[in-house]
Amino acid sequence: MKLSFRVNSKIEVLDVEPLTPLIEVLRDRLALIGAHQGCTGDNCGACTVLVNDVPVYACQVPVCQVDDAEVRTVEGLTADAERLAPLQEALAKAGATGCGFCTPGMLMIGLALRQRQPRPGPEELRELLSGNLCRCTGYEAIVQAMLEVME
Amino acid sequence: MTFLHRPKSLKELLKTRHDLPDAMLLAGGAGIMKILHKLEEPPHDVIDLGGIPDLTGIQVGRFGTWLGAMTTLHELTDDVLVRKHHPCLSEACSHGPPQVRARVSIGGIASGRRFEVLPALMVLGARIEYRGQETPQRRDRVQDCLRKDAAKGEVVVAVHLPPHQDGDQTVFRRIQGGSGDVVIAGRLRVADGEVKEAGLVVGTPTQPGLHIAAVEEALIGRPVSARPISLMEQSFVDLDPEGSVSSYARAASSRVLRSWLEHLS
Repeated sequence: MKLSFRVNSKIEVLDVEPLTPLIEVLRDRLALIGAHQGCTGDNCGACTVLVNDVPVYACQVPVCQVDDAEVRTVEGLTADAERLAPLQEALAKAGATGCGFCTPGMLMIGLALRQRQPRPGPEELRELLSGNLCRCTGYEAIVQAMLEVME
Repeated sequence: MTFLHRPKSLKELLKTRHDLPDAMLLAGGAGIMKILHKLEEPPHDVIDLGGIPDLTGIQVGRFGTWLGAMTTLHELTDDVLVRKHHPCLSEACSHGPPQVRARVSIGGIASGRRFEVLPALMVLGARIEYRGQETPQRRDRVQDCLRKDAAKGEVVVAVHLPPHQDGDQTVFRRIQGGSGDVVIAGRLRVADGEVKEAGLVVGTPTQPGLHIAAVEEALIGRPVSARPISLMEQSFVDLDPEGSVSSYARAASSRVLRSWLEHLS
């Protein structure tokens, strides 16, 4: 079926099976490989993207549910591909990336929270990050780096 | 190949459901990928419930609370009136990853997705409204819905909660069990200095809605001197985190009951 949606402000029109996971469409059809395919079972959060500003697991969303929606991936954090967004810069500077596999998902959570609440507290950030696993950093560096940017 | 059907009204949905009784329903979509992984081939027909205004919204009035079947757990935790009138439900909906809560719909809860919400719905006396093109509208208690599937051609339209009354006290807690989490939802209705109604429901991943009827028998008619519901919190503190989920659940519920009884007598 033919679907139309915005990805990082660009309109995409695709002929695709309606139940295809969004992550597969992003990575395989649109070459947006920033969101990672990890557990494929709503556990790890590495595939987190925003659909109409709400964070979702892209591995669990059938693409038909984003018809007419606005999808944001980590590639859309900054308009200039040569420069890092403040959130990315903060994580890199604080050494809060470890192996980097979870980082795109973490960044999208940071963006969602920033849009919802410009100056969140650590508890709100931790609560929102509860659906994203990181096996390198112990989370503290991620939380601190994000809070610093948001302050 | 899968055909996607997108009804735009309840009437259109009921007709589509009637014409395609074997079609898969796509509500919030939070569990659909796991279902698809178990199927040998993708479903021939899918009915998307996403574009039907009759299935969305939250209405709180003196006749109770109406929750459209497509209302997400995220919307329920964010809603000021739900937080005020049904804090127990609001708290129950706040558990779990935000990415999942943004998509799990209250209408799909009876299927067992997010086991922690069922005890809250049960203890509040929630009823699930079903509609079908050729079947009469019916409202079943949540605990009854757990035991049977919707009839062919029927869809869940809404969840209804009885109105909150003065003297209602509710509590919800999620606690760490030995091999999984246990949730407990409790409710007391106090009037004229005594307990008029009582309920306690325990939920575990394998048994999401265990109704502890003994609580009602033991408590109703007992005089009340303070806010007995607050004692429930104390009763969770020193529970043994070892052992199975079911033994943990039993221990937790008996401790709650004991603390209430001690307080009331």
